[in-house]
Amino acid sequence: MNTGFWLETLNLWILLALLVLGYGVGRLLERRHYQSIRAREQALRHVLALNTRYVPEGVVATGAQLVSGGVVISSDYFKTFVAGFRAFFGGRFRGYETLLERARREALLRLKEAAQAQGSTLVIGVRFESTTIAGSSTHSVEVLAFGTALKTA
Amino acid sequence: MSEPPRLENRLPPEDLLERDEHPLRELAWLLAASLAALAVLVLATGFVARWLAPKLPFEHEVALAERLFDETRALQKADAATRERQAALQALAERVAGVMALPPGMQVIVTDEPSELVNAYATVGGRIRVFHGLLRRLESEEALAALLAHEIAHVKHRHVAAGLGHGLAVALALSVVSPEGGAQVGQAVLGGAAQIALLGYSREAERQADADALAASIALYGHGGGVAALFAALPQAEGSSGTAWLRSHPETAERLALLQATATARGARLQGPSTLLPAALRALPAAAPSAR
Repeated sequence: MNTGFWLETLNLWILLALLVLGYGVGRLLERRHYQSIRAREQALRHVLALNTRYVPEGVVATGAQLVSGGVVISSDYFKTFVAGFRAFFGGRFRGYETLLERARREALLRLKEAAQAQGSTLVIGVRFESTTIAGSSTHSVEVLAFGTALKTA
Repeated sequence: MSEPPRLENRLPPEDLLERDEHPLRELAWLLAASLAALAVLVLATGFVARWLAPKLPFEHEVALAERLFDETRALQKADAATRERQAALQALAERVAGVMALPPGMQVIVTDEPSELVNAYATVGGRIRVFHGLLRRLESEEALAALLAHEIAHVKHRHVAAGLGHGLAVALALSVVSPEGGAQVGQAVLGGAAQIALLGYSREAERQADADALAASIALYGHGGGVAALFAALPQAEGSSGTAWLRSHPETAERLALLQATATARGARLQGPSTLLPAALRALPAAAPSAR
């Protein structure tokens, strides 16, 4: 193998290195994020988030406060690469589905944390908003959850 | 008074990450499918172009050649010996072409290349290049005429256009995937490496060219000795440098056997008097120190 061969195929090796890096690091971060989400969901079970518009029957609310939780999560090189092929053949963007699920659950967790910080354990009227950041140049997703935290007696 | 409803948030049963197909498996499927689609695309466009290109009028090929090769300027820079050589080659080629019934408007232009490769090729616009390495090996005018007839046959049957069309169509198909790679292939087909890209004529095309070369030799000299001499002058075994002609052509022994059979069928001899090459072609400049 001479240097000419490596130089000519340099683009391919860079691509491979980026893919390996994106896959390895991306998957590690995703696993750790899921673990953290599971643990915090368990810890915040006592804070309820409902999407009802009105105070549920039997609940005595003495005050209300707007709370929200937002998160922006980026795709990794591997996910984006695979998605490029998906755009050609069709089918589910599996990599992006986990991305969106993580963002949704994380946003809801942050909303619950915000409610807890105000001494509330019930949020009603919860809504989700989602946007992409910076168009298609950065593959990332933003999810915002907001609702009304009730002060209950 | 009824009991107030029980309010709760249940935890999701499992994470999407665990439930889904493994991403590497997904990538493998997608890559395999893409490669298969690309292969089909390249083969199909190549096949269609190979069939379509020879149907284009020859003038378009000439116009392309005039853009690609700057022959008039090269000839102005050439010294007297080079001009004499090219004139001798051109004169012989025109004699050969005269008995090959080229379609009206089709002309060949022969030049020599100061390279020690044992090679000759036909390229777009009826341009034929003969390398010094091959010229040195040819001892008779008949053998050179057979070589020229073989290359002229590639021009006449539009093998050049088919090969070029094929190469360019493949480049176009590849540029769908990678513009850079496609451009590189396209440049290789049109540019300096033209002969390499165009060498890949089918064996059928080579047989047709051989048969035409024999017919032309018989028409000019009354025997097929030149073709036999040409095959004998070609490198017999692959391995050493300068055997490009052999790599792209059928096995010499096979060609000789076929030649023998064809000659017998036509009642022609494969031996006969041979003429010396024109003086200009015998006195080639000394080989430049090889770059390889």
